[in-house]
Amino acid sequence: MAGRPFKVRDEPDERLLIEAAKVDPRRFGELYEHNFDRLYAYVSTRVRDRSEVQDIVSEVFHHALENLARFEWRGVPFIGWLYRIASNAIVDHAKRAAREQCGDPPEMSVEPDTREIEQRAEVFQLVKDLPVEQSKVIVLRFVEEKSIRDVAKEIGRSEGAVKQLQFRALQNLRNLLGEEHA
Amino acid sequence: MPESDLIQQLDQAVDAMLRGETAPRMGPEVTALVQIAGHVRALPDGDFRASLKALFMDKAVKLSKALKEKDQMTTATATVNWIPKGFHTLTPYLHAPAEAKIMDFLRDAFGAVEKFRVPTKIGTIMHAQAQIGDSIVEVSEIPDDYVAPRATSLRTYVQSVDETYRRALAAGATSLYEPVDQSYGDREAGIKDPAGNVWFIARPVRGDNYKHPGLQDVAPYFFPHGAAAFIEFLQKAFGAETIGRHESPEGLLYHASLKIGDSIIGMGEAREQWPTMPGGIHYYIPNVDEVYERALAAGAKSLQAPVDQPYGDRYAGVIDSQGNYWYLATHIKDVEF
Repeated sequence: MAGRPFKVRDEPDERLLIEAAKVDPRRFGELYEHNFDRLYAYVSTRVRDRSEVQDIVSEVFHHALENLARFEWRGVPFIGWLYRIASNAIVDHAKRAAREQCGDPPEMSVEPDTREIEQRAEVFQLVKDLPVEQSKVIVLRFVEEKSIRDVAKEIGRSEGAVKQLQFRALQNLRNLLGEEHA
Repeated sequence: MPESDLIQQLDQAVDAMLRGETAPRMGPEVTALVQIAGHVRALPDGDFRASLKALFMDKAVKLSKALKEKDQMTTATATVNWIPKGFHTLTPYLHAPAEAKIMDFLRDAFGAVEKFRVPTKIGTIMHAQAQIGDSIVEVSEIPDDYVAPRATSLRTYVQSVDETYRRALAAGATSLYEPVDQSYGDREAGIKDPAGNVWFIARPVRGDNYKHPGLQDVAPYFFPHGAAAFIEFLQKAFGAETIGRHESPEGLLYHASLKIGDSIIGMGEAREQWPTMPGGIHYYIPNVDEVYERALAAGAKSLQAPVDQPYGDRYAGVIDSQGNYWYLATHIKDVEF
């Protein structure tokens, strides 16, 4: 379903969330939960290294929390503001890395692929909907980057069973993604 | 292709991806799954997500506390009372020559307690507050060439007229008349203090209370020329309410009581024995700008347009037709001296 907008689940009234967090920053937790996957997806499509992605996501949320009072609702979603902060942070990181390596900063793509980001964010959410064993294999294999043998040992299954769980998990995610966009 | 082959191909592609290598060319079904695997590979670490949130919540709690404190401070500033603690709406303001040592007289005659004093460079009093009973009397010792009202007239209610009268004379006052039971029910004496201010010292002849209900212990007493017009001015400018009035058969005002805010002032038409003695009156109101405009519209002259003062009042001044200086003020913030 190329080009279809990302279907947001249980969209709360973001404007109310922002106003509430401005008055009481403790409400920022709701904004964090609501935007984490999309921000993480955005950063991870542009930065490969996991620890660098984490650093940038952390920086963006810190900046957003500290500067929330300055955010004015003008019809642009909050995530757009986070993307802008993230974009600047990514450029800063790249420049810093280039300086440390005495090279030129890499060319950054200014316009991210929105469809890819939103699809990725949705995959992040859908992993939670997988059967427990499948989501466990996904985490061990992709987040912790363990070999099939190590995963098999950890969950007490055969290597063949783990490969099958990996296959089923990705198949399910593809199907769920298709359903979301159907 | 059998499913077992697809499973094997996918795993090879995932292996290559995790090693950062280009995946071998696959059929469309495996390619579609590899694309999903590309997203899954970026899956956020659950521990990272949770610990980052915990970090934010900690920071958010601190920010929330800081905001609340700021809010409380703003509220405190916004809700500062327009009249400082201890003041009535009207407070007599005496301008006296330094040599009269008026603060000493107030202490010795009326038992005044000095609350506050700002001295000038030469040691005289720029501004002082003396507490007498439930009232404050303000004092400024001024040089001869300073333009301001001089001796004025006041009324004070005391526990013992005779005792206070004696103490006043001992403190340097001159007698205007000895204590006497007046026909209007007060025992009363008249004195002139060393600065020339006239004091009517009184208490009701009957009853246990040393003063009539609603009166403050010290208040201005006016002798205007043309009392009727002066009352009209007070009504228009300050919203004064007449609560008592005694006139001669010819219409001469012997005495009137008017309420302004929580203060009750007295007055009688100026006559030979009691000439006009304009004075200073410190007048607290909730909105100084509005009262200043009303006073000018009612015929007063401007002494000072409203201005914020460093001591925490917004202040304006007007002079009425009798020459009284009304120091209008709204307290806007508490200032530590």
